[in-house]
Amino acid sequence: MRLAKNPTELIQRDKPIHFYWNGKKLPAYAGDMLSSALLANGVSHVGSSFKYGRKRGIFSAWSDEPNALVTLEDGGLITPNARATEVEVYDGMRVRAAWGKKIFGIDLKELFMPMHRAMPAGFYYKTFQKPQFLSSFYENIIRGFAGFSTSSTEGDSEFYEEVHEHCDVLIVGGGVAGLAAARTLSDKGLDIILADDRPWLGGQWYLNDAKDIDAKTTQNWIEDSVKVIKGKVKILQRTTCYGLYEENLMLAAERLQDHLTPDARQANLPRQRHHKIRAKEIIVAAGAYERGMSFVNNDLPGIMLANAVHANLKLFSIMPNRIVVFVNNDSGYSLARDLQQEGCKDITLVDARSNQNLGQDLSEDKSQQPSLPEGVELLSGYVPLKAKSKQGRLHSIIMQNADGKNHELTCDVLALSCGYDPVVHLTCHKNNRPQWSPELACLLPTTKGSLHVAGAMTGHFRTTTAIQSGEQAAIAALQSMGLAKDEKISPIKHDNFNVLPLFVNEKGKGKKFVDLQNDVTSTDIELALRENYRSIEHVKRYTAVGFGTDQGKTSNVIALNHVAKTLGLKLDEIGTTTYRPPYTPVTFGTLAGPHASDFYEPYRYTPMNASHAKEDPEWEVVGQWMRPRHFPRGSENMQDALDRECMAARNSVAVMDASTLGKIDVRGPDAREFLNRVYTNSWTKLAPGKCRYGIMLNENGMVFDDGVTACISDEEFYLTTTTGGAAGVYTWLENWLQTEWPELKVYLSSVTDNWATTAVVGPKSREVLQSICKDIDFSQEKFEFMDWYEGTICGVPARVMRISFSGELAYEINVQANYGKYIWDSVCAAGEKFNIARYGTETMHVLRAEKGFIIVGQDTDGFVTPMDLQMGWILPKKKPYSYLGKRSLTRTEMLSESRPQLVGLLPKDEKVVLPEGCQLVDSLKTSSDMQGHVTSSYYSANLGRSFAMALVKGGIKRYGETIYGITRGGDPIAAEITEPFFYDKQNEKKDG
Amino acid sequence: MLLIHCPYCGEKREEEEFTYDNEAGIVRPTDPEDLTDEEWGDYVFGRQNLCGPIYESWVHTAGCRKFLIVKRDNSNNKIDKTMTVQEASADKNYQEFNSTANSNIKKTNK
Ligand SMILES: [Zn+2]
Repeated sequence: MRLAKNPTELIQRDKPIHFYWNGKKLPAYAGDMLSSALLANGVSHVGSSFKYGRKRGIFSAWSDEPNALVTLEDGGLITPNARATEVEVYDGMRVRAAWGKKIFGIDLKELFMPMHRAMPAGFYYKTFQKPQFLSSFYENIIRGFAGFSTSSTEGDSEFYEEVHEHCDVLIVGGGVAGLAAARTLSDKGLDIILADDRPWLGGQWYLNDAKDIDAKTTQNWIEDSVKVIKGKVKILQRTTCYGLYEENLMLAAERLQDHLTPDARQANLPRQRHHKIRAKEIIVAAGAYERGMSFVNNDLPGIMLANAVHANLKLFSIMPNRIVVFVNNDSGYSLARDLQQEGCKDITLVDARSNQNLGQDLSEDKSQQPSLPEGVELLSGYVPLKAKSKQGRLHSIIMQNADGKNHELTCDVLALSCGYDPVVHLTCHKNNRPQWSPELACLLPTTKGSLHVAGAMTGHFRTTTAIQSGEQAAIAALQSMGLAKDEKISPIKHDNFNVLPLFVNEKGKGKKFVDLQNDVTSTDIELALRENYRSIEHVKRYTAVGFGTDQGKTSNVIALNHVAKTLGLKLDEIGTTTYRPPYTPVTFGTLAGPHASDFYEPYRYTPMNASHAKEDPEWEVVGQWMRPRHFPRGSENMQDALDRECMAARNSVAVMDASTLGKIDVRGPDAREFLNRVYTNSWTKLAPGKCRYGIMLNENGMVFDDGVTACISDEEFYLTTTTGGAAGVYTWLENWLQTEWPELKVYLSSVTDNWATTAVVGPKSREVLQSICKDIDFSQEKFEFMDWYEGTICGVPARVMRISFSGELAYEINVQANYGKYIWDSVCAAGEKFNIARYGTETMHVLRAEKGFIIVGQDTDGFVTPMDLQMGWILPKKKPYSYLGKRSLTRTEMLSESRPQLVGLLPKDEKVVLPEGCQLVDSLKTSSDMQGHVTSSYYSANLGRSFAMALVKGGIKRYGETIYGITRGGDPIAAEITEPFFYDKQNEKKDG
Repeated sequence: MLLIHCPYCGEKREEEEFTYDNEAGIVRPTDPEDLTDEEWGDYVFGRQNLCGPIYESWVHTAGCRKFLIVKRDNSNNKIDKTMTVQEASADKNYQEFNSTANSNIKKTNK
């Protein structure tokens, strides 16, 4: 029920709005949180529980909410699993409950109600193990149960931003303690950031309206503080500091536009902004959560934290009709007082303590002592035994005293006030563990160095002491920076509200929930302990207590205490589970920030790109490079284009852009020795003007890169790597030079982007080259295979290498990158009379596979030696330095004949192409073992048939055998094992 | 997120600029051919994998591209100091750390 206007409310009465709850249009006011708007409309059932499908209502008013998970909007604007207590309602907002799949309008879980008894702790582990074949069935059903949102299949329609910030002091939390710290620091000329996750400052100020701060009310003090710090402190609102990392790096998510109607959001502003803040000092004043307790049916809608009832009353003017306030400490009295002041007629205060003034000496400030408001009924010495429901929500609560006397109270809301839990999360992200304070009955943070805590975080729950502790934390931060005298700060006395710790009422039959989000009951925890799960981390994982989107914010402390009590141990002996970032869920968009879609990775383009684009090829991304895959002409499909391009290369002339190959300039007096060490073969005698192919091994003896290196002079080599391996090879080589062989005088420079490479391939390539280059003699006698010459092509200085990745007569023209496009265009023009074909990566793959040339990373997978590739010829026996990986090649295992070895495969049906990656078996019996897999597979126009390369166990000795490729959903493909060379086996074509 | 002082650049920079390489100080045996399979395996795969202060090799990938030695306590992720490869080779504690790491290989190197 919404009250008439209340002076502290945040809602704007003059701005009535509407939102849609499961399709139903409901009224609200601008300034409402979704939770307050739902409560104001009497919506009690907002969630559906994880295991049992029980109806759940709003429990909290803050980020600890376990039940009220909702899906906001749809499609590109969807937000799954938002907590209704953290969502600001805007006009037209579309909200759906996040509960499970509905089939024929029935919540699936309701069908499975009879299964309840069969879902104890460890249910998932026990059930899903056997029988194996049912596990995916269970998974699908249970997933459908869970009260979580399904995500959208559409892309995000908004964008995100990332900022790096540095400051002197970062204050987390804009409650009174955080504001007091900011106030104290504001005139020191420091860079200060204050971050708060709410749209309002002041936090939970409404809890105790202190009357003695400069004779003003708390609210006035807050307004005054904001005035003081404005302009001097950077205030980030709607910003959640969610993770604290090394060297005081705080990650924070700022929600810039989530609270606006989609139509009102600015297109040029991000939805959220990811702050990466490095602070010299950090003051965490994150407040405390109120704690509930566990008793029979404590999950009924209508049972809430007293703090939540209080927040809704003071900030959103929502009042229950008949309320029972249960307390085990003094703090809940102020709720009873405020309810009574607002005119609530039916308030019963139940105090667990038989003498409400017990431990009185702790609260020295007499004005803070609880007094029973007039007209409020008090029941002392009683605790909740069992809640009863009517129509799916709370109807009455049975209270019981120590003598076993029951007292049933009818109510629509039960407010629980069972103590406060400091929000220790951020202080624990760097491995600090919180410590149990028996005096305050809560976990307190442990901090040191530049991390400070203040307010309810340190157990200073009252407004006055919270402000003092905020001021002290500010001074501690100044001291830590050396800006204040190093005087000892005298501690402020704690106030435990005279709490009588209570966690689980074990009396009564029925479900007593500890974790509302994961449906973990106190008996589940007891069962886990009986099954000998003793570590709190194991109990957590076995029962799922503390899992989920709320990470046990309302359940962890109750669970810890229940474990301790059951085992007869002290809290300190149990420890706590680990607090990990993020503190509350962060949307993936924010984590990705601007590094998404087009900005996820850079695209690299060769200098010839504009010429390629004109031909409208099919593109392929290779190690960030955009490369043409093939160049279809007219109505050609992919195979048509490949066939034509391959035939042109074999019979006439074709041209490919090879600029993407990694290129490293190796220079220095010891360059030869260096190459000798990193390549398997010898470079001692390679003369200037010559090129050589080499294979690099890692120390495990496995092939990890290959390429051709040209000798420019005795002290200069031009080394090429695979396109994808370029960066890795460069770092690998630098590592050896810098750390292992500093005595070698060698310098490496990456020159990949400095050179553009045009490969001209085919029997007519010599004629094409000669027509555009007059100062090099391209005749077979002068320009031999694996030679390179310097010359001028169309006026451009060039290095021309006669190397071939296709087996054909071929040249690679290397020019300064700026001339790449010009040379490419010139070659294409010169080749026109031979109907020169441009070709891309796919044709290159077919041509090299026909010759049995490998591609590192496709035909090798990191477990392949040169011997496995039938390339033993590249492993000379005598080299003075034991080159990298050499020793590994003589290990016993490497000599095994059953290692996977590279072979060819010829499918029995010449038209059928084996899928790359498909597994091979040697018989079609169900029990036959895998023999290997297909690494490269194509249809070859030149061979007039399909062919493939594969790694097959002991394959070299199995030529002629039949092997079967297992395809997904299709028939097995029979193929004959052959040698991995298919075309021009005598190497006659290389001279044209 | 660590801040790592690059001893070459002379600046404390974001961890994002660096890449972890390996446990530091794994010395390549001078005569691999004289090693048994097991000894060679120790060099290729064997790591001390200690908990506490350890030496690591990192590379300043997005900076000077030089390899540096980082002394880091992996139990609390605190960096004690960073050194150039040359500085490390003169550092007594580093030498001691490596002598245990390479004890197997050292034997055969004699
Ligand atoms: Zn550097």
